[in-house]
Amino acid sequence: MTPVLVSIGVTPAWVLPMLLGVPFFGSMLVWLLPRSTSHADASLARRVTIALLVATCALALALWSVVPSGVAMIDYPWIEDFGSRFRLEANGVSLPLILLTAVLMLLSVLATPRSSVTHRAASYYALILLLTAGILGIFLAADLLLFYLCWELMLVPLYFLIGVWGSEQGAAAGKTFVVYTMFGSLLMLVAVITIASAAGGTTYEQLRDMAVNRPMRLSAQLLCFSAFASAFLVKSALIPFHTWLPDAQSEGPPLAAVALGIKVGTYGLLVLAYPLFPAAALHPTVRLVLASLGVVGVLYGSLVALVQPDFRRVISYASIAHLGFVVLGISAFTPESVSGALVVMVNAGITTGGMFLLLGMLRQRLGDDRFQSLGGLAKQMPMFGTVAVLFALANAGLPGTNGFVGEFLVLIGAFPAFPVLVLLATIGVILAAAYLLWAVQRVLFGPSVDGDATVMRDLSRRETGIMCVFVAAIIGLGIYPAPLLNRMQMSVASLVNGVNASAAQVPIPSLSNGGQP
Amino acid sequence: MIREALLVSAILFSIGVLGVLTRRNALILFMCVELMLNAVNLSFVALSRLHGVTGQVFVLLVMTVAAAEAAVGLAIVISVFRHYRTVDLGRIRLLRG
Amino acid sequence: MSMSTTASQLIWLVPALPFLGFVANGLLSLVPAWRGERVDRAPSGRRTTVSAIGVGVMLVALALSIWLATSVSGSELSITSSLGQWMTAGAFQVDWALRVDRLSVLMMLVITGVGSLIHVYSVGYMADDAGFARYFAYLNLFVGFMLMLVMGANLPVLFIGWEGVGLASYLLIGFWFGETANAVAGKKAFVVNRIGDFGLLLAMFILFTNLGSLDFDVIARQQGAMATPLVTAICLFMFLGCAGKSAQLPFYVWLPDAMAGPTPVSALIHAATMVTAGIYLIVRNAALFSAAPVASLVIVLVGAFTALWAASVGLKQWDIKKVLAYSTVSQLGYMFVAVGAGAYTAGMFHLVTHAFFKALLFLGAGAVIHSMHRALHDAHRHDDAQDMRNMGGLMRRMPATGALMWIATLAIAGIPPLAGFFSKDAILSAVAERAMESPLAESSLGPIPGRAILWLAYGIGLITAFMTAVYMTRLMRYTFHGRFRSGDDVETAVHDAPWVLRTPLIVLGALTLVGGWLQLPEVLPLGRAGWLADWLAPIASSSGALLAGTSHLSHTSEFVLIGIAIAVSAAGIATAFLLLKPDALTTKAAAPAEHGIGLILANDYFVDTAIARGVVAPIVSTARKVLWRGLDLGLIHSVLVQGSAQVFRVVSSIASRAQGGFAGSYVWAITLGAVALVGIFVLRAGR
Repeated sequence: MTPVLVSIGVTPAWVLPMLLGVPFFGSMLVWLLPRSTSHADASLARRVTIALLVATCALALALWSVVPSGVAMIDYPWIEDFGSRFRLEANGVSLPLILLTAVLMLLSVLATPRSSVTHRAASYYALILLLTAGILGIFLAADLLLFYLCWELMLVPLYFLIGVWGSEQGAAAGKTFVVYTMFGSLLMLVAVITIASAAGGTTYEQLRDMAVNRPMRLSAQLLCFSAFASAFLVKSALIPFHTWLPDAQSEGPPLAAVALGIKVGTYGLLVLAYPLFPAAALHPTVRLVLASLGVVGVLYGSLVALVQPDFRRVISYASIAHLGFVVLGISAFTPESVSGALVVMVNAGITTGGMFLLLGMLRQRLGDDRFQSLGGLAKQMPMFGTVAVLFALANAGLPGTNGFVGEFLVLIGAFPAFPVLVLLATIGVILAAAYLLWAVQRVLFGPSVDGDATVMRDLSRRETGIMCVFVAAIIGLGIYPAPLLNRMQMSVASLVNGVNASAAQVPIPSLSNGGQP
Repeated sequence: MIREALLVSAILFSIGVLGVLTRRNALILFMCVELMLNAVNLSFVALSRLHGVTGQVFVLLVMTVAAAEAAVGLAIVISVFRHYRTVDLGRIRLLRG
Repeated sequence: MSMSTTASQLIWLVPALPFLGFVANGLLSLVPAWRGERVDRAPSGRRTTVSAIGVGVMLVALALSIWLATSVSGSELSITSSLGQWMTAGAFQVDWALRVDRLSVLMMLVITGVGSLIHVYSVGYMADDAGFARYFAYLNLFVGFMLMLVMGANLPVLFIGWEGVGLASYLLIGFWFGETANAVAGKKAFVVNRIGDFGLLLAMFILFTNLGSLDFDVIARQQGAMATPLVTAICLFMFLGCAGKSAQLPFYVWLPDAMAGPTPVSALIHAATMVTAGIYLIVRNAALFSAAPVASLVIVLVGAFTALWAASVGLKQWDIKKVLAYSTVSQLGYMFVAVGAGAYTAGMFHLVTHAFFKALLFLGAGAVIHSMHRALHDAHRHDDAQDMRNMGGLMRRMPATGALMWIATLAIAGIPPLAGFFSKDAILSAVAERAMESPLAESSLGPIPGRAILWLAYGIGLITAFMTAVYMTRLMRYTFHGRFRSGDDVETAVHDAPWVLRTPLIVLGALTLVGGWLQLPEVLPLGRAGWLADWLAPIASSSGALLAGTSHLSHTSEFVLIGIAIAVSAAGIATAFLLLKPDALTTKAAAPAEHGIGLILANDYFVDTAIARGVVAPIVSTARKVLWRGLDLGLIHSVLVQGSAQVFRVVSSIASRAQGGFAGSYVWAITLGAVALVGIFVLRAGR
């Protein structure tokens, strides 16, 4: 069978496989580089990695600009026996996340100074490239087997990055992370096998076809949906499956924390679980449970963030709260709330990612970021202070920053469906201001802990440059989110309509007639 | 003819199994395993009368494998003996899980 | 036609210019950090640039506002301009739309006018501060957001301004962040404001769900499509937002603490502009509020009680800024009583006059504090430069400041012909008029008739006016008259305000003198009456009529009300002169402790302690003990996660007993298994 290269629109067909191939094969290239602990070798590995990531970013930007709306896709035959094809696709839902991943990974590598990674540098950078390939694969995959492979592929580099290049508790944090995620993935594997055998193949097209024309029974759909949902929600750290996240983000290197802020779990929920099991997803009880979990996440995450002993954990719990908004938006399932959920996903990546990198810069100077050892930093580091306050406010959803756009759309879109839950979630807005500003105050304001004895350097030119990108994104997306939102419109609309239409075919029992499937 | 051969094979096999199950000396165990293998060989040859030459080809395969297995197994027994000074299987717990 | 087209093309400049000033001054403030220097005082060259930018953008914005005011004064009532799409998703669409009409241009003039004066004042006041550029950056940021608030054509754009001024307030209150207390005060302001923002957000959600749009035009036209309980809910949520932003009970607690910031900040943000955003919001949505009498009555009640509460606390404050802070809360209460009763013009009138005299009071206080601070510093003393017990007889050393502050004091006490008299009288007369006969009086708040509430509000208004006169006169007597209590060496070092500080005071004083002419009552033959009412008529009159009805006070009644108001104010001033004994005062350090009612008032009824112990502490300790230690670390992590790992360990230790290590047992197992398998197949095949 000859390979089929399909491209819709004017995208050159090679961009998509290159986007996956450059980091993947690049990681093998870096792996082969010389590995002594000398400065020169570490430097070489770092430079090669940066070059490869720049190439990835350029490809992602090319994709972004060439696909204004609609879809780009390539297709190769792969494993015939499972009905799997190597199919990659980029549409309005995945494109922002693809660009986000590429840029975030590049900035994270740039933010890590040369000096902090000397121990096995080549492995470190190779793992980073592998991680990038894994995450991009998740967003690009248009075949369920490929999706699952990349899902698992993401785990391995993260485990090593957290365990080996993190703090002393990194190994334990990494182990917890892997066990948690594996548990979910196992359930998902069962569901993948079930649905692949039901549909006779694993490409999204075949699966969607099955969901529309030959839908499964409601009980089967509910089981499969729960399996998928548990995997995705564990990965995204929704309450109550969240305790791995604060440990992993605090004990691991900043780059791992940034990567964990890219919400692949909720992406999977939206793009896979909903279209494939529409009747289960739109079942009133399921919607209510998911929405309630989202609101619990917002409130619980915000309240616990109030009492954390160091800034990194505060931001971790803040991202759990953001996730609550995403889940609320997805479960309400209107075009406005789903768009809002996607915007929150992108924004959470930007703001929490930026914050983690900033805190990483602080840690390099001080070695310790517990609140009791910090204070009064704004006097000596005004640029750091400015950026920190801006990030904190973006996290809290200040209008004019990107955080507001997403949260507002989620809340206003979900209000007709769940008015009381939205009211509760809006309380989270108050709490966000409280815990973020309190954290900022303990770090930046007041007298310094040792009376100005230590001289702190403010952000260097490199660090300022990196932070400027984040600042520009935060303010730019806050004032002019139109490029992002317009790109999503069509895909979100077709997703929502599609799921609603397929769900209508399987009778959902109303609560009054006793729930006969 | 075939029936008798199969009967002998079965008897030999049972003797071998009983020996493997009840004997504690490693060398005796090996001899019983060889006995089992040869009983199987006998039944293969007998049945090849009915089903063609494949059975006899298989006998050759079994004999090769038996020889190799005996060699490796006896080497292991000698190593164990050198360390533990006994070949009594009741006293050796190296495969403990 | 061409004028309005040019106008609509240019209105975006009005908020944009201050934002440009913010960016420019902000970058200038970071220059030392970029270069790696540490400075204790901004060099004078840079100060000139910063001042030029900071004040310059304000003056240009003011000029544009004046021009826009003339554009809407004729037949063309509003100018709108849409700058492009903001958020679009599904059925939801919001644009960057600005709108200038008679209401917003009035606010714009106050913001840019009083704001420019305060910027000029700040040039002198903050000259010695190292954060000079940063200060002006924040101040410009504030003005930009405030302008956006009043110029927004839809609720989300207003909300950007709404939260943005909260941000600027946070930055400016905590400007001297070296002291933890200042940073805490800034954070408190932001968080309490956010509680109000919660209300405004919910109002937006309900509005969008029912009307499909958040434009003010659409809301005003189509509010009739919603049932009254729904409109009431929307209005109550909006009022929650106003209560947070405009410091009404019980969300006023951030305002007194906000005095930690520089005094010009208090003048601009906490007297003239940010806190008045709530009033603006209600008047802007007058169509909604006038359709919900229940909500309006609630506003009247809350406003009245706030006015009373804050005035009582002001009677026992010794810090001059705190007195003014509580005074602001109290006067805001008056404004809410007005707009709650549907007297939108009266509310806006008081907003404008209050901006004049309160800014004057704050700036004057700033001059006093500035001088006292310098004098105490020169004398190597560390006493509190803001406590009136350390002052006294300053009229001798600071006659200009003192005289101007007396003008403001008389205004706020309501003595004619100063502006404060006219605006306060307008409010009280309006309330009395509606209490006597109006649709609002006919409606009721639960079991309480509206008439009772309105008369109660009127009574409270009079009592508060009395108290206002008392505490303001007390302030003036203790600060400017009598003997100076901090010693002769300090007294000789006190100087009057320099010209850069004095000029804005003079301008504000003049405005206070003539401001009353904006809205003269009909009964007094002083000039053209009701000018402001006519100006705002296209916006507020129809809604106001819904609540007020068509009745009018007779001329006799009006005279009686005016007479009562003047009598109450005069009585207050007289009481202050008779009962207060400035000679018995000692300095703050030597002052006796408060006791009894004085103690309660001086500590603001212990509200802050009550909130800290009753609200904040339980939340934090629940979060710490129950949620974090109990659930997260305890239940989820230890029990579920470690616990399930433990289960596996136990099961595996049991199961590993099957691996005894005896080869014989393994052989038995193999044999039995093989027999079983073969047996199954044989039996199956046999069947």
